[in-house]
Amino acid sequence: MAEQDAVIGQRQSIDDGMVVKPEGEIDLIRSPQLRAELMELLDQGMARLIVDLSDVPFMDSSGVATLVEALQIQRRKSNKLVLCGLQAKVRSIFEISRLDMVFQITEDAAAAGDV
Amino acid sequence: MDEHSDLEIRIVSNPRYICAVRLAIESAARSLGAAEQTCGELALVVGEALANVIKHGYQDQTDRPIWVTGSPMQDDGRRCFEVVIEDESQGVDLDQIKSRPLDEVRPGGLGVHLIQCIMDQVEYSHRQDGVGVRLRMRKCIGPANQVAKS
Repeated sequence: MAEQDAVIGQRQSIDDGMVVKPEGEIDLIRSPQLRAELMELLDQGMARLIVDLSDVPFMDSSGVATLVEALQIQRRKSNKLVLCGLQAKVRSIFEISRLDMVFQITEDAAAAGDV
Repeated sequence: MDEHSDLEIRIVSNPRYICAVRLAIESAARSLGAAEQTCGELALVVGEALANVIKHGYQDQTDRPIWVTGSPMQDDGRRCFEVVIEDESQGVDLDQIKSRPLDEVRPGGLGVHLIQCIMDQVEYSHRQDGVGVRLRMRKCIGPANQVAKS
Protein backbone atom coordinates (compact mmCIF):
# COMPACT_ATOMS: atom_id res chain seq x y z
CA MET A 1 0.00 0.00 0.00
CA ALA A 2 1.36 3.42 -0.94
CA GLU A 3 2.50 5.64 1.90
CA GLN A 4 0.00 8.43 2.43
CA ASP A 5 0.83 12.11 2.51
CA ALA A 6 0.61 13.80 5.89
CA VAL A 7 -2.84 15.12 6.79
CA ILE A 8 -1.63 17.60 9.37
CA GLY A 9 0.02 20.54 7.66
CA GLN A 10 1.03 23.28 10.05
CA ARG A 11 2.01 22.58 13.66
CA GLN A 12 2.55 25.42 16.09
CA SER A 13 3.70 25.09 19.67
CA ILE A 14 1.87 27.09 22.33
CA ASP A 15 2.56 27.52 26.04
CA ASP A 16 0.68 24.41 27.15
CA GLY A 17 0.59 22.32 24.00
CA MET A 18 0.20 22.61 20.27
CA VAL A 19 -2.06 23.84 17.48
CA VAL A 20 -2.30 21.44 14.55
CA LYS A 21 -3.94 22.18 11.23
CA PRO A 22 -5.14 19.20 9.14
CA GLU A 23 -5.59 19.96 5.45
CA GLY A 24 -8.04 18.63 2.87
CA GLU A 25 -10.95 16.22 3.05
CA ILE A 26 -10.85 13.69 5.88
CA ASP A 27 -12.65 10.53 4.87
CA LEU A 28 -12.25 6.78 5.00
CA ILE A 29 -9.09 7.05 2.92
CA ARG A 30 -7.30 9.73 4.96
CA SER A 31 -8.60 9.29 8.50
CA PRO A 32 -6.17 6.40 9.31
CA GLN A 33 -3.30 8.74 8.47
CA LEU A 34 -4.78 11.51 10.62
CA ARG A 35 -5.21 9.00 13.45
CA ALA A 36 -1.57 7.93 13.19
CA GLU A 37 -0.37 11.53 13.30
CA LEU A 38 -2.60 12.47 16.23
CA MET A 39 -1.64 9.37 18.23
CA GLU A 40 2.04 10.18 17.75
CA LEU A 41 1.44 13.68 19.09
CA LEU A 42 -0.68 12.51 22.01
CA ASP A 43 1.96 9.96 23.00
CA GLN A 44 4.21 12.92 23.76
CA GLY A 45 1.61 14.21 26.21
CA MET A 46 0.37 17.79 26.07
CA ALA A 47 -2.04 19.69 28.28
CA ARG A 48 -3.84 21.23 25.32
CA LEU A 49 -4.17 20.05 21.74
CA ILE A 50 -5.98 22.48 19.46
CA VAL A 51 -7.14 21.00 16.16
CA ASP A 52 -7.75 23.81 13.68
CA LEU A 53 -10.14 22.50 11.02
CA SER A 54 -10.37 25.66 8.95
CA ASP A 55 -8.64 23.95 6.00
CA VAL A 56 -10.89 20.87 6.13
CA PRO A 57 -13.85 21.31 3.77
CA PHE A 58 -15.33 17.84 4.38
CA MET A 59 -15.19 15.17 7.06
CA ASP A 60 -17.06 11.89 7.28
CA SER A 61 -17.83 9.74 10.32
CA SER A 62 -14.43 8.04 10.15
CA GLY A 63 -12.79 11.43 10.66
CA VAL A 64 -15.15 12.23 13.50
CA ALA A 65 -14.37 8.84 15.08
CA THR A 66 -10.67 9.67 14.94
CA LEU A 67 -11.24 12.94 16.80
CA VAL A 68 -13.47 11.20 19.37
CA GLU A 69 -10.68 8.73 20.05
CA ALA A 70 -8.18 11.57 20.47
CA LEU A 71 -10.57 13.37 22.81
CA GLN A 72 -10.93 10.27 24.96
CA ILE A 73 -7.16 9.91 25.25
CA GLN A 74 -6.77 13.53 26.27
CA ARG A 75 -9.55 13.26 28.84
CA ARG A 76 -8.07 10.12 30.40
CA LYS A 77 -4.89 12.12 30.98
CA SER A 78 -6.88 15.14 32.26
CA ASN A 79 -5.72 17.07 29.21
CA LYS A 80 -7.74 19.11 26.73
CA LEU A 81 -8.58 18.76 23.07
CA VAL A 82 -10.24 21.78 21.47
CA LEU A 83 -11.59 22.03 17.93
CA CYS A 84 -11.76 25.32 16.05
CA GLY A 85 -12.42 26.80 12.63
CA LEU A 86 -15.10 24.31 11.57
CA GLN A 87 -16.47 24.91 8.08
CA ALA A 88 -20.21 24.52 7.54
CA LYS A 89 -20.16 20.94 6.25
CA VAL A 90 -17.88 19.81 9.05
CA ARG A 91 -19.89 21.63 11.72
CA SER A 92 -23.01 19.96 10.38
CA ILE A 93 -21.76 16.42 11.02
CA PHE A 94 -20.85 17.35 14.60
CA GLU A 95 -24.29 18.85 15.14
CA ILE A 96 -26.21 15.92 13.64
CA SER A 97 -24.25 13.47 15.77
CA ARG A 98 -24.65 15.81 18.77
CA LEU A 99 -20.91 15.81 19.29
CA ASP A 100 -20.92 19.60 19.29
CA MET A 101 -22.12 19.17 22.88
CA VAL A 102 -19.20 16.87 23.71
CA PHE A 103 -16.24 18.65 22.13
CA GLN A 104 -15.08 22.10 23.10
CA ILE A 105 -15.44 24.03 19.84
CA THR A 106 -14.34 27.62 19.26
CA GLU A 107 -14.30 29.99 16.31
CA ASP A 108 -10.53 30.11 15.95
CA ALA A 109 -7.26 28.99 17.48
CA ALA A 110 -6.89 32.19 19.52
CA ALA A 111 -10.18 31.52 21.29
CA ALA A 112 -9.27 27.84 21.72
CA GLY A 113 -6.31 28.89 23.82
CA ASP A 114 -8.65 30.44 26.38
CA VAL A 115 -10.94 27.41 26.89
CA MET B 1 -30.93 -2.04 -10.65
CA ASP B 2 -33.72 0.43 -11.33
CA GLU B 3 -34.32 0.63 -15.07
CA HIS B 4 -35.30 4.27 -15.23
CA SER B 5 -32.90 6.09 -12.96
CA ASP B 6 -31.40 9.35 -14.20
CA LEU B 7 -27.94 8.66 -12.83
CA GLU B 8 -26.17 5.30 -12.69
CA ILE B 9 -22.70 4.63 -11.33
CA ARG B 10 -20.90 1.36 -10.80
CA ILE B 11 -17.74 1.22 -8.74
CA VAL B 12 -15.65 -1.49 -7.16
CA SER B 13 -15.56 -1.54 -3.39
CA ASN B 14 -12.39 0.49 -3.06
CA PRO B 15 -12.68 3.49 -0.71
CA ARG B 16 -10.78 5.65 -3.19
CA TYR B 17 -13.90 5.82 -5.37
CA ILE B 18 -16.26 7.01 -2.64
CA CYS B 19 -15.30 10.63 -3.24
CA ALA B 20 -16.20 10.41 -6.94
CA VAL B 21 -19.68 9.10 -6.16
CA ARG B 22 -20.17 11.67 -3.42
CA LEU B 23 -19.34 14.49 -5.80
CA ALA B 24 -21.61 13.08 -8.53
CA ILE B 25 -24.58 12.87 -6.17
CA GLU B 26 -23.90 16.34 -4.77
CA SER B 27 -23.66 17.77 -8.27
CA ALA B 28 -26.85 16.01 -9.42
CA ALA B 29 -28.80 17.30 -6.42
CA ARG B 30 -27.51 20.82 -7.05
CA SER B 31 -28.58 20.68 -10.69
CA LEU B 32 -32.07 19.67 -9.52
CA GLY B 33 -32.28 22.83 -7.46
CA ALA B 34 -31.60 21.40 -4.00
CA ALA B 35 -30.34 23.84 -1.36
CA GLU B 36 -26.58 23.86 -0.84
CA GLN B 37 -26.88 22.34 2.64
CA THR B 38 -29.07 19.54 1.29
CA CYS B 39 -26.56 18.80 -1.48
CA GLY B 40 -23.80 18.47 1.11
CA GLU B 41 -25.94 16.25 3.33
CA LEU B 42 -26.81 13.95 0.43
CA ALA B 43 -23.13 13.63 -0.42
CA LEU B 44 -22.28 12.84 3.20
CA VAL B 45 -25.00 10.18 3.42
CA VAL B 46 -23.95 8.46 0.21
CA GLY B 47 -20.34 8.40 1.40
CA GLU B 48 -21.38 6.88 4.72
CA ALA B 49 -23.53 4.26 3.02
CA LEU B 50 -20.73 3.27 0.65
CA ALA B 51 -18.26 3.09 3.53
CA ASN B 52 -20.63 0.75 5.37
CA VAL B 53 -20.95 -1.52 2.33
CA ILE B 54 -17.16 -1.71 1.98
CA LYS B 55 -16.39 -2.17 5.69
CA HIS B 56 -19.26 -4.35 6.85
CA GLY B 57 -20.80 -5.85 3.71
CA TYR B 58 -17.60 -6.68 1.87
CA GLN B 59 -15.25 -6.84 4.89
CA ASP B 60 -12.82 -4.41 3.22
CA GLN B 61 -12.50 -6.40 0.00
CA THR B 62 -11.69 -3.84 -2.70
CA ASP B 63 -12.83 -5.61 -5.88
CA ARG B 64 -16.54 -6.21 -5.32
CA PRO B 65 -19.30 -4.37 -7.21
CA ILE B 66 -21.43 -1.53 -5.86
CA TRP B 67 -24.16 0.14 -7.90
CA VAL B 68 -25.49 3.61 -7.15
CA THR B 69 -28.44 5.27 -8.83
CA GLY B 70 -29.99 8.68 -8.32
CA SER B 71 -33.32 10.01 -9.55
CA PRO B 72 -35.64 12.94 -8.93
CA MET B 73 -39.06 11.84 -7.63
CA GLN B 74 -42.41 13.29 -6.68
CA ASP B 75 -43.53 12.20 -3.23
CA ASP B 76 -46.72 13.48 -1.65
CA GLY B 77 -46.51 16.72 -3.60
CA ARG B 78 -42.88 17.31 -2.80
CA ARG B 79 -39.81 17.07 -5.00
CA CYS B 80 -37.44 14.40 -3.73
CA PHE B 81 -34.13 12.91 -4.68
CA GLU B 82 -33.91 9.14 -4.40
CA VAL B 83 -30.64 7.27 -4.10
CA VAL B 84 -30.40 3.49 -4.33
CA ILE B 85 -27.24 1.61 -3.41
CA GLU B 86 -26.95 -2.09 -4.15
CA ASP B 87 -24.21 -4.60 -3.46
CA GLU B 88 -23.59 -8.34 -3.54
CA SER B 89 -22.62 -8.77 0.10
CA GLN B 90 -23.79 -11.98 1.70
CA GLY B 91 -24.95 -12.88 5.17
CA VAL B 92 -25.94 -9.36 6.16
CA ASP B 93 -28.72 -9.43 8.78
CA LEU B 94 -30.85 -6.41 7.92
CA ASP B 95 -32.22 -6.27 11.47
CA GLN B 96 -28.71 -5.64 12.75
CA ILE B 97 -28.32 -2.44 10.70
CA LYS B 98 -29.25 0.14 13.26
CA SER B 99 -28.15 3.44 14.71
CA ARG B 100 -26.33 3.39 18.03
CA PRO B 101 -27.31 5.53 21.03
CA LEU B 102 -25.63 8.92 20.87
CA ASP B 103 -25.31 9.36 24.62
CA GLU B 104 -22.41 6.93 24.48
CA VAL B 105 -19.37 8.90 23.34
CA ARG B 106 -17.14 6.51 21.46
CA PRO B 107 -15.51 6.26 18.04
CA GLY B 108 -17.41 4.53 15.25
CA GLY B 109 -20.99 3.56 14.53
CA LEU B 110 -22.16 7.01 13.50
CA GLY B 111 -22.72 6.29 9.82
CA VAL B 112 -26.16 4.69 10.15
CA HIS B 113 -27.27 7.44 12.51
CA LEU B 114 -26.26 10.10 10.00
CA ILE B 115 -28.11 8.30 7.21
CA GLN B 116 -31.31 7.95 9.23
CA CYS B 117 -31.13 11.45 10.61
CA ILE B 118 -30.57 13.22 7.30
CA MET B 119 -32.77 11.22 4.93
CA ASP B 120 -36.58 11.32 5.01
CA GLN B 121 -36.96 7.67 4.03
CA VAL B 122 -34.48 4.84 4.50
CA GLU B 123 -35.23 1.25 3.57
CA TYR B 124 -32.92 -1.74 3.62
CA SER B 125 -33.94 -4.89 1.77
CA HIS B 126 -32.39 -7.86 0.08
CA ARG B 127 -31.94 -7.52 -3.67
CA GLN B 128 -34.51 -9.13 -5.91
CA ASP B 129 -32.24 -12.01 -6.86
CA GLY B 130 -31.61 -12.62 -3.16
CA VAL B 131 -27.89 -11.90 -3.31
CA GLY B 132 -26.82 -8.67 -1.66
CA VAL B 133 -28.40 -5.66 -0.01
CA ARG B 134 -30.44 -2.84 -1.48
CA LEU B 135 -30.55 0.49 0.34
CA ARG B 136 -33.18 2.92 -0.90
CA MET B 137 -33.05 6.45 0.51
CA ARG B 138 -35.16 9.47 -0.30
CA LYS B 139 -34.84 13.12 0.69
CA CYS B 140 -37.13 16.05 0.00
CA ILE B 141 -35.35 18.76 -1.96
CA GLY B 142 -38.18 21.25 -2.32
CA PRO B 143 -41.86 21.87 -2.96
CA ALA B 144 -43.42 20.43 -6.10
CA ASN B 145 -43.74 23.75 -7.89
CA GLN B 146 -40.12 24.81 -7.39
CA VAL B 147 -38.31 25.25 -10.69
CA ALA B 148 -34.98 23.48 -10.91
CA LYS B 149 -31.95 25.55 -11.80
CA SER B 150 -30.84 25.07 -15.40
